[in-house]
Amino acid sequence: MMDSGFIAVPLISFLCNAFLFVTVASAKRSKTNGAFLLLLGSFSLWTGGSLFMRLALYPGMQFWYDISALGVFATPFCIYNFLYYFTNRKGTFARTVWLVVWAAIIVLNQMGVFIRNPQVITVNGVSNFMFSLTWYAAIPILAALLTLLCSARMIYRSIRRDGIPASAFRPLLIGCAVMFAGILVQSVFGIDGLSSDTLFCGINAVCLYYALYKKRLLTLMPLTSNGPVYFMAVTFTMLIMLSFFPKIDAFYSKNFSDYESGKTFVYALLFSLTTLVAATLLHHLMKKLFIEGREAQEQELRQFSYDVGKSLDTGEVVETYLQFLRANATAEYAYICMRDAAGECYGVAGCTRDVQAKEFSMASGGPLEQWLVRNGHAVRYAEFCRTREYKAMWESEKDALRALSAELILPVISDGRLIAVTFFIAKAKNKPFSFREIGFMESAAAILAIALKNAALYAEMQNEARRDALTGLFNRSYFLRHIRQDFEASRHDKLSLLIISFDDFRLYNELYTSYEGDAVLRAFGRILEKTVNGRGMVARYGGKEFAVSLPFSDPRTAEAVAEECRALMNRYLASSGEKTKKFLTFSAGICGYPTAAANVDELVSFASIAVYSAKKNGKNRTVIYAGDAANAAVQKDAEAAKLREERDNCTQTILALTAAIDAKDHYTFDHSNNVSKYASQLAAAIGLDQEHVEMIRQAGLLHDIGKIGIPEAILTKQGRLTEEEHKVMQQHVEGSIAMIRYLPSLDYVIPAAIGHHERWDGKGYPRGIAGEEIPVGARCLCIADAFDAMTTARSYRLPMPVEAALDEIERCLGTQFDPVLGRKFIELVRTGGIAVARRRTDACPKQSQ
Amino acid sequence: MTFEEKLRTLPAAEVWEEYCGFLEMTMEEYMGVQRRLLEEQIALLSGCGLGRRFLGETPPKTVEEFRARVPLTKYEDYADILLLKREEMLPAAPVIWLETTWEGGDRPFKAAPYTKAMLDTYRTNILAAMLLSTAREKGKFRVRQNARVLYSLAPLPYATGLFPGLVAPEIGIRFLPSLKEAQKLSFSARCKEGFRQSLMGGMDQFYGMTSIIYSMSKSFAASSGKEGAKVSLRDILRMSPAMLYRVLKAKYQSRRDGTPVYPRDIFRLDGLVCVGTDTALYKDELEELWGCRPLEVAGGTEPCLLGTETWSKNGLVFYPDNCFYEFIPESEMNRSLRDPAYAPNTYLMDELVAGEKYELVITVLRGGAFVRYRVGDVYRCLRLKNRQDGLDFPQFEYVDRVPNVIDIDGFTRITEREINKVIELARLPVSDWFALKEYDAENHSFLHLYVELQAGRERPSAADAAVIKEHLGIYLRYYDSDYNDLKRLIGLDPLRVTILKSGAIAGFARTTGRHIARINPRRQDVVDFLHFHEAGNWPEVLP
Repeated sequence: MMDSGFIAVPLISFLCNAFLFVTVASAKRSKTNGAFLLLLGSFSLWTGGSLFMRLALYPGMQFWYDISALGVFATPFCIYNFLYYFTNRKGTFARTVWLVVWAAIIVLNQMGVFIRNPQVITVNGVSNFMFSLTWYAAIPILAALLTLLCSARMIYRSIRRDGIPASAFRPLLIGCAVMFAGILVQSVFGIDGLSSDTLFCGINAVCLYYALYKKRLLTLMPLTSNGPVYFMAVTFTMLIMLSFFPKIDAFYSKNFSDYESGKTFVYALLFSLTTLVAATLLHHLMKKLFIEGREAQEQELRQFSYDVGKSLDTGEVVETYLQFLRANATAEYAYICMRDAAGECYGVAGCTRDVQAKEFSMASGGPLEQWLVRNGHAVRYAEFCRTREYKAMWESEKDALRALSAELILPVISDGRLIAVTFFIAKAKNKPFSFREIGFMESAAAILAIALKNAALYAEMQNEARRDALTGLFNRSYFLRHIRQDFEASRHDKLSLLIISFDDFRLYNELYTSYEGDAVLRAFGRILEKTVNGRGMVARYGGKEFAVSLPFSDPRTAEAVAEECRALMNRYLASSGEKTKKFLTFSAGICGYPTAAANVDELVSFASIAVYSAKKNGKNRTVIYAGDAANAAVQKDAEAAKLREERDNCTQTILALTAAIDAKDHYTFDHSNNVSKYASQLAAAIGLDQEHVEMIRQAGLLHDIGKIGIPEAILTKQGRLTEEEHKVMQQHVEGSIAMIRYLPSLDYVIPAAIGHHERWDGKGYPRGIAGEEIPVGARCLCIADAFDAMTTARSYRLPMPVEAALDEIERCLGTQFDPVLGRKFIELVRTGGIAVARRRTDACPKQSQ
Repeated sequence: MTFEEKLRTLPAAEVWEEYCGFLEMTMEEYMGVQRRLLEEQIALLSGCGLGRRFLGETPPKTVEEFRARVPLTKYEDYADILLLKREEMLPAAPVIWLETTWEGGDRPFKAAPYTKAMLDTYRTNILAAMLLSTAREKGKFRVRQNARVLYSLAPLPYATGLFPGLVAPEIGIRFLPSLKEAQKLSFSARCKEGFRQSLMGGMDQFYGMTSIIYSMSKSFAASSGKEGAKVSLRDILRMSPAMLYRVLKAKYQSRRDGTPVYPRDIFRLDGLVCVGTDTALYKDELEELWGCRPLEVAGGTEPCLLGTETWSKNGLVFYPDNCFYEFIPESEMNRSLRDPAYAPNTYLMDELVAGEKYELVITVLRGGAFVRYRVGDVYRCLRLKNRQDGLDFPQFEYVDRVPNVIDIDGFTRITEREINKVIELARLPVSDWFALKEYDAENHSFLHLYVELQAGRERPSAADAAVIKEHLGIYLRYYDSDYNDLKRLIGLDPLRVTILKSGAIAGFARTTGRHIARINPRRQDVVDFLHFHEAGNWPEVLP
């Protein structure tokens, strides 16, 4: 009869090793896994052979002894072989040498060189496996020692060079050391009832299980379903039953002799139950060895991707991410810090714990951001402290990061730009984050990056849809929606609406080009925003109009805003760096709720009327609407009618003005008529539309209107003007503008009138503009003005012949005159397209030169 | 995690990266760190009285504005705050005050505050130097836990005195003698005791002032060749077996070959770290003596630990996180010495020219007190890059102190003011003088004082020169404790006196129109003067 230890030790050892073998065998295969499988195979042969030898199974003890010995002698090489692949060593020479050495040792052992007379001896009912060693047994022991030393060297190298953590190898090293000690004990002390070698081999199997389960020595991906589990359960139960059947049978016969007939049923039930328990246990153990929860993680990521993709709101995306972290992050809690809109810093946008909302801010462009962007992956805080970027950290930054107690820093990067950072705080029991956990979180961060980018793009589009492209302010439609919200919010308080409209803005565009006009609109938008400073909402209400909604403010506050803007605007125009100050004013209208308006519509309508009123009363002023709604409507109609009337009276106004010139200076009156006629004919000839031709005609009539302000002494002086008088005479251009601009219906003639002394080469006055920068009307007037001046008599010379005047114009083409227009003018005069006015011979006053 | 724990648990490459990773910075990265930390320092300075003194009420916003607006400073600009230790005026609270001699100053010493952040930087940088000293190639270092370290560095309150206190908590090295023992001993006794202990049990690393290491090494080699230098039985009983074996073997080989026993025959050093101004002169000889090329580190009380050599031990690199560095070219420096009102131009690390000499200007980072401070050290820019070591920023060698200071072996710094004081104290009839630093045949530096006695004295003899030298020597030792240390610790007498004929210096000036500077005059001027003096025909001054 065999004692229990004699069988139990190798049985348990075998079961452990066989379990690992089947588990690894049922995982996806790789070179490393294959080498590990070979190692487990050698252990299984060793312990299995030992067990079956003790059980005296077929074909006999010698066979199972040989199998066991094969396992024992193959083990050192298998350990070396596994580490060779595990540490990614190169070069096969040493491996081949050890393969040959151990193959030779196995062969020699088969020949009985090392171990002799293996047999099972039973003394007093206690069985022992006995054998004798020859002195040559020192050879495999020495070889094993050397093989293990070489293996240890490989481990050392990979720890030092490749950075594989030493702790990964520890269970393996302990297992091997224990096993080698077992063999030595067996070899030195000979017979051992507990079969120390298989006992230590079993301990080694436990160490390996630990290495696989806790340290994740290998990545084991499950291949199949539960088939291997059931197969192993049945095999293990059979082996257990086989090993202990005599004892169980004796126990049953002794205690349950009355139930001999049910023995088969009891045994079958016992077998089934044992199998079931074994299967459950094995399934549980095996599950731990495979990549635990990998599929579950992938499912979580899929779900997160789905959830986060449903929203285009940054806040919601962040909240979804926080929920994901709450469910999946192994850290105690985590913060997400987002880059602010200005891109200047990262502030806390959320925390997985509500109570932990810390004040933390990280400046943009700092060393941590640089590191994260450059490397693009998560970093442990302790590792970051060892980088060279850390050297550039400010002490305050170091303190803030330290105070955060971040264990892991995870970047969220989109298009090479850091958009958010997650700080994971203190993992439970201070365990470090595993590579798998970090990889999982990085996958989530990548999904988050896409979601945040989409949300940002959507927000940008939304913003663009409600913004004015030129000024960046809100547009009219958004403003009208928003003012209703403001109205609701301040229904029980007060609200003021300010509408600002530039005066003569078309004129400004004509004078300084629309590019300058756009620039002034942008600048004014900024001025307005700065002045309002968050107290209300600013919008571009129309082409040249701005609107400001000021909730909880009375009209006087709005007026103060308008006046401050006016002052800032004047400062802006004065600082434009031009020779002459640009002239631009605005009229502002204000309406307040509840004093003047009862609802939003009235507010808008009455503010517009107030603007109109400001324009009507001389522009460049602010008017607060004070009337009631009915009066306002009437007032509005009346103003509109008056405006129409003014437009109808345009021609009379011009006539009145020219008559005024005539009264003061008849020559200028004639001259203006001639210039008007020549210029309009030229304009018509070059294909300008009727309205434009008419405008040039009117401009011609009014171009010298400013001479009304020139002293008569200069105006009627006989002889050449002095330098000083000439300067006074030149001022008639500004004088003309100053007069015309107070006639709203005629202000469109100013560009042409102001530019009639500009020269094609830029040497003219008052602005010194050149080429096509000079309005076409002004260029026409310039030629007409010069021609008339030459062909009329002066106090100091007779009138030039027409041909001579045309020659002079031709000579000055490209310098004083537009070459194309000039040629056209000459052609028209020569062909009779322009009829030259009858020349006067009487002395005439001065014509400006 | 301490340095020792890192050595034990982290891959060597990670330890190297943490401490010596700065050597792989590009010039751009290096300047990036400099600028960023200067911005921090400006922010700190703008909030304190000392800072406002130099920066004004509106702090500069950029590095360029800082350099343009803030004047170059000297210790006199800080004395009223630092000597009185007015902490409320400083940019950050100091945790320790260090002191050093104020050469030519109003007080005998200068005080410099050190913040916690400065000490952290110092610790990291000295550990980097430790790794580099043991490295023979990039990333391959050998720092043993429980290493036996002999240190012959000046104790606190000098900057080098911080070394053991900062390093001891980081790694369990065994200082020779132990820190506890060292506290009870004088500097001289500590050096001797440390060397004795290292002889008994061995030594793995040696940190010391170059002149002291050199002096100890030479005296060791010299004494080993003498008859009386036999190893006593008592020594033998105290020695570890390994040391006993090495000593006996060295003795045997020495006797057999008739050569002295060198330290290299007994010690197997992993690292030898030298501190001091004349290190470059002794490096080759020290390598010969110790079998290990010394690693030079540069520093001082005001700038803390400035720089270190790399594993190739061929030129200093400045730590990027210690100070913000500016450099005054030699011509500008000389001009500013001649004309103290002149504000010399400075250049940054990425604007230097290889081979040029520069006076160093520092702004101590991490809450330090010194702003655009002229340290008074002159460095030569050896090269702008070092392809062999893979460095992308300049390397330097220490040249000397600025010309108006004579530095002898890193111990003492003598200025015109000090010599005047000594002459005055000694009551010698000296009418004129000049002094310069010279080197003897063994490359030892010494102070050569040329003195001219008052008119009407008899022609001086050699005996007179010896008397005057003795006289001046006594007063120098009395007036300058560092000078006294030099003589006491190294056994050097660094003073030579040459008596000149009366009126020679003034005569030379009148004849040639060239004035000889009192301290470190131009070599050419000295040579010409000596020829002139030899000829002895200068016009008498009319009364």
